[in-house]
Amino acid sequence: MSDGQDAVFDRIAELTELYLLDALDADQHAELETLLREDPQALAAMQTCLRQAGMMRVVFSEQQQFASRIGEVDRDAYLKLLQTLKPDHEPEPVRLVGQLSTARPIWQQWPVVFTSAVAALLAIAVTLIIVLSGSSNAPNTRPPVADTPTDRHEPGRVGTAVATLTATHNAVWASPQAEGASAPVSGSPLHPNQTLTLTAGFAEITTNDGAVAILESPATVELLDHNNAIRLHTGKLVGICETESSKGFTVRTPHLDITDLGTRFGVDASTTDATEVHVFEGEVQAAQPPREGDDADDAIVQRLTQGDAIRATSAGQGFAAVDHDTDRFAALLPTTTPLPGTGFGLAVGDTDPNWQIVAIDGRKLDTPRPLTVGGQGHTRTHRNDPASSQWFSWLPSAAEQNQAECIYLVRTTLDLPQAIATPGAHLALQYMADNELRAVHINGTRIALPEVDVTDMFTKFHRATIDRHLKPGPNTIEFELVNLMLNGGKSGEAGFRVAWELVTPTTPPPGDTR
Amino acid sequence: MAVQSDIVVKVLMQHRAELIGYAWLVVGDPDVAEDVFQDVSVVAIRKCDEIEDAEHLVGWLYQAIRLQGLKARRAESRKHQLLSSDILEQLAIDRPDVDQSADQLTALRECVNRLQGVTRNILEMRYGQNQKPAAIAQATGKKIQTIYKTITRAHSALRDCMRDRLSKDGGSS
Repeated sequence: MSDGQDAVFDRIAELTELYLLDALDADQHAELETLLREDPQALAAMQTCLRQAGMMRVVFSEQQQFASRIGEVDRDAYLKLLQTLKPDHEPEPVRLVGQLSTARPIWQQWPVVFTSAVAALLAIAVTLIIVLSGSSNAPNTRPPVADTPTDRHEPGRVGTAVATLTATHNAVWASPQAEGASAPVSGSPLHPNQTLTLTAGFAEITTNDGAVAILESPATVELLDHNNAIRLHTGKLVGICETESSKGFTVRTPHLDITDLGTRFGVDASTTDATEVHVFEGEVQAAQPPREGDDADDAIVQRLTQGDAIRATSAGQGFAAVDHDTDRFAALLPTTTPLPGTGFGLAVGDTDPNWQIVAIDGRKLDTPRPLTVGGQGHTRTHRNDPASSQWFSWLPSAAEQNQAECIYLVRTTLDLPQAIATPGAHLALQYMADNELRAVHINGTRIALPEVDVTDMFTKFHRATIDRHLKPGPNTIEFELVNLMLNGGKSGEAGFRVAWELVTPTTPPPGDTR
Repeated sequence: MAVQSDIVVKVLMQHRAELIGYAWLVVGDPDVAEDVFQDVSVVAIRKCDEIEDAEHLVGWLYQAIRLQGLKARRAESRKHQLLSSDILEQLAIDRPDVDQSADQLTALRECVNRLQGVTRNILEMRYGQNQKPAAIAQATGKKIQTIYKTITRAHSALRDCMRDRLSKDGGSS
């Protein structure tokens, strides 16, 4: 490096260290930003300094950190994982794996053989073990296994409710098996091992994790010792999983298990010799246990997507494709009516007269700010769809850039039909935001939206159900959009996108007089 | 094609120091930075099937670190003045070449082991125990400005040491 480059590097190193020590004064902060903006070498210098700071942190903290974490995880899992992780670009871990075969346990060896790559490997191995050991919310993708005695409660024991009977229509139940028990009604909690036989009408069960199963009579279901699974002994049901927590909902039938991966699907177990699965939307996993005497690894597992339909018979026989048949489940499927979303029917750059910013950080605007359809930054992650919804994008004003976060209140009016007054009717909302949609106000009542992982905020649609405070006719809907600001400088573009549909509940088929 | 979890693990290993350094820049605290790195590692492993390919993974990690770091700042009500977002983004885009990261870390460890006395103690308090300069000054009986200078000079000395070691081993800094 030249003397000039050295001088830049030394100054950046000094300012970076002061920055990390939180000891920069305003002048030094301004100097650092100017250097970084105007001199490409300054940017590279800062990268080097940050890397060194990160390495210093790693070197000085690794031993005590990993020594304590090794105690948190299962050592067998740790050893097994280490043996599967052999980074091909770094030789150190391979040496360690070789040493693991010696008689000394790893927790006696590690202070001797600790190396940089091993340190990193350990940290990530621990992370992996924690993730893979069951703390994940990922859907259960294990092949089906037979119930074991520990899966069941003892006869007569009533466990914590795992689901709720959320709706019925002309429902008639067979006599309850348990002495003194009464027939369930809408709102009844449902417990593990409870068996329900629906002899007439329809019923809706919602699991504690939010999955919905709509049953058509005649049907017999059993609640399992799990917040997100039921057994369908006989009959038909439609499974609906529209929330993140409900993913993994499992329906066990005599011939296969169906695990939802975020979808709507129908299961027909009306006959004793076969069960059919029809996928209406999204994806499910169908799994059939092995034949008696075969290895558990012989379980048959197949993923099904929208439009797929299969028929399963005896264990180990596999699945046969059948014609997809929505009509068979028509009585169980709710009616959905698309509603115009953000930027509906407009071109990029057009102003949408139906959506406006009416307040910023709680201050009502004298003149609402119009919103226009965005076409650049945000559509890199998700393409606009004029037939449904498009991004609104805007650059915050200079004043709005100086806040850690800025809350925009965006208003629209939604004209809803009389059907919204039907019990169970709701708005199914899908949204993306840069950076966050925090709440929705329905006719003046604020409803918080689920917190979204920040890494997902504007990369995919998130779902929410609005089933309160709506009315037939015009409804005032307001969204709280939060744009995260960074102290001391420019903020990025803000934006959001909303698609929605009206969902009206299951209705009995025409002519049903029950 | 989605990224496999073993690739995610390799990339996390390879970029660990850079990502922690970047997280530190965003959150202003090395302990919180490590938490952010761990959180993002978990997310990356869980969501590896949603990440397009390995080329996008590193960019995704930097973006995730930035967003998760901002969230952590909010949660902890951190007040220290951040660099402007355009600079933070530029630092994430113009990422350092990390081909030699394992060698550099090994070299740094060897160089740190050569440090003796007060300088090493100060660095241990700073990086191992996350003590603030004022606390270090009190513990060592030195002025706070002396602590700043000692840390800055130690960094410079360690960079020179690493450069020497890597050049002897046939690498470059």
